[in-house]
This record gives sequence, structure tokens and C-alpha cells, in this order.
Amino acid sequence: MQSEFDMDSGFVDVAANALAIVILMTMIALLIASIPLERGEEARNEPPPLPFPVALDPTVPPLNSYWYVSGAGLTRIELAEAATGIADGQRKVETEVGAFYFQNDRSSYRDLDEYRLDFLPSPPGIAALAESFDPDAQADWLRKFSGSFDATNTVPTFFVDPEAFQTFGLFFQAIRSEGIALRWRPIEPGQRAVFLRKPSQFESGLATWR
Amino acid sequence: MMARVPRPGLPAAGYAALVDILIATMGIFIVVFTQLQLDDAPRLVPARVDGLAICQAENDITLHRWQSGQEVITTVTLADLRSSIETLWPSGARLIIGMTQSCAYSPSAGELWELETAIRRVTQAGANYLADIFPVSAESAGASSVEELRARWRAGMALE
Repeated sequence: MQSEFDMDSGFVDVAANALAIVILMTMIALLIASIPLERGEEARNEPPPLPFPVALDPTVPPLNSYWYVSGAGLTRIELAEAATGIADGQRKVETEVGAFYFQNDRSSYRDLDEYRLDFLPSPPGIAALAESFDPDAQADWLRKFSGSFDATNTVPTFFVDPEAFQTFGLFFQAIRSEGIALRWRPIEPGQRAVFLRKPSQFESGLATWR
Repeated sequence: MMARVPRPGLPAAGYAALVDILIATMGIFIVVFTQLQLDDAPRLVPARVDGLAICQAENDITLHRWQSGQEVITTVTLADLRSSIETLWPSGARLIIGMTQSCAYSPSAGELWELETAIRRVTQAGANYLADIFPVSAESAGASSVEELRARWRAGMALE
């Protein structure tokens, strides 16, 4: 009875395939139904009065724009000019906002070049190029920072002078309430800002932007 | 009627039992499938802050935590700040470190910044700590003052 045998195996074939489809659909439904909870976020209806800022995804680190916050306002620190000079072989690059000192470390054989770039701000240059960030101008700055994050994934880093600490506190609250990621560091007049690149930054000392 | 001739290498028995098992398994999946419900996914909002560390000046740090509906303040030094945090919040915490001007420009301010990175590692007990540093003013009022930060934190803790 060849035909009966074929019919039986045909049933098995159809049943096994149908089972596979049902398992697949179940799995897909389970995946859709599960709510992914990210670290630093909670499932609630209303945000708390003092929310903990959510960090940006560290697997795609953002680009940075650097700003010097002085009593006169915000001054952009352009690293591009320094980078061009360093590529030409200079160890010290003088720019309008200050001097950059470059130190390359090739003592160890690694895929990653370690370097240290010191930035010594020059107060007259900083003050000349500063743009005010008082409460009237705040809205423009917030629009600018959120626009540059949306368009080019760039987040600001602020070096805060003691003169500007009080006003920066208010500015910081405004940026945070807009949900724009930022980093900030206090800097004293005459102190150097250090830009480092070393393997530990990719291992344990990974930076966060929140 | 012809006698059934099994193919070589295949069992002679029919597949009825196997088909039965397969259809029964499908039945189980169909029951599971129909019983699944899509929950309304609540909006994801930033989490609450579990505690505050306020650095008023060098080595003048207070830890603010919430215990049975009340704010409990502990004064610590910079040297034992990390161990105090791990003792007070044994299961991990999200902390905001408020830094006033006299703290931010004190010689040991760098250690607080290092703590922010160091504390992020999950401890052996599996506790997870996160910290973020806010610039605050030492004045008693104003949007960026220590008191305003504490008031907002208390309001969030009192919701529970």
C-alpha cells in the first residue's frame, strides 16, 4: 500500500511544519510582549521631580564640542586648529583661545596611539571670543546644543571657571531639564585642561555622557 | 489487498502516533498563544535619585538618604565616602553629588570626579552604583541652590 504510506508521511510533514510556524509565532509574540527596561530608566507614568539623568549609549560614543565657561560667557575651544598644527609636526600650537601642548607616547607597542594634549587657556583671547549665556540668551544656546546633538551627535563639555560657577549652575539646570547630555569640569585660572587618550578609557575608565 | 511493504531504513509502524504527538504539541502552543496578552507598556521615564551627597567644602560631605519616610543625614569625610555609600545603600543606588564652588575648587575635588567613574563598577555583591555631579550654589534659595536640590529630591522620595 504505497499510497497509504505516502499519505502518512505527508501528514507528518504538514504537522511538523505547522508546529514550527506555531512555535515561531509564539516566540515572536513573547518578544514583542516583553518590555525592555534600560539601565537608569523605570517604567512609571510621571517623571520624578528630581530625575537621575539617563546616560547616552556608550557603544556609540558621541562627538564632543568643548567650551570654556568664563565670567564673560561661553567660548568654543576648537581642537581642529590644534590638530592641523600637530599633524604638521608641531609640539606646541598657539591659537586665539590659548596654547596646546602635544605629547605623544609611543613607548609601548599597541594598536592605539596614546597621547596627551594640554590646553592652557589665555584669558584675554577667551574673553574676546566669549558669547553671553545669561538667562536671555539661554534659549538660543539650548536650541543650539539640542540641534547639534540631533544633527551630528555632538554633546558639549564645559570647563567652568570659578567666576562663572554660580551662573553655570543655573545654565546646567536648564540644559538638564531639556534632557541634553553634557559633561562639565571645574577649572581654575592658569590650570591646564588635559585631553588624554589611553587604553584604560576603552576599558575600565569608560567615559559616560549624561 | 497488497501487503504493506516498508521502505528500507524506515520503521514499519505507521506515523499515526507521531502525528498525534505533533498535533498535541501544536495544541499546547496554540493554548499558550491565545493566552498571551499584550500589556500596555508604561512610558519609560528617568529613575528617581536614591540619595544625595552634598559637598559644601573640602572634607565637608553630607549623605542624605531616605529611611521610613524621613530624611537621614550622615556626615562623612572624603576618605570614607565610598565605603559609607556602600554601607548605607548595600543593594546599589543612584546618587547625585552636589558640588558647591568651594568644594569644586578645593584640592581634593579631583577625587570626587574619580569616584564618579570608580563607583560605576558593579561590586562583588552585585550592587550597582551610579553617580552624577551637579554644580550647586551654597545659597539658601535659587534654582541651583543646595536647598532646591534637596527639596526636589524629598518631593520625589515622598511620592512612594
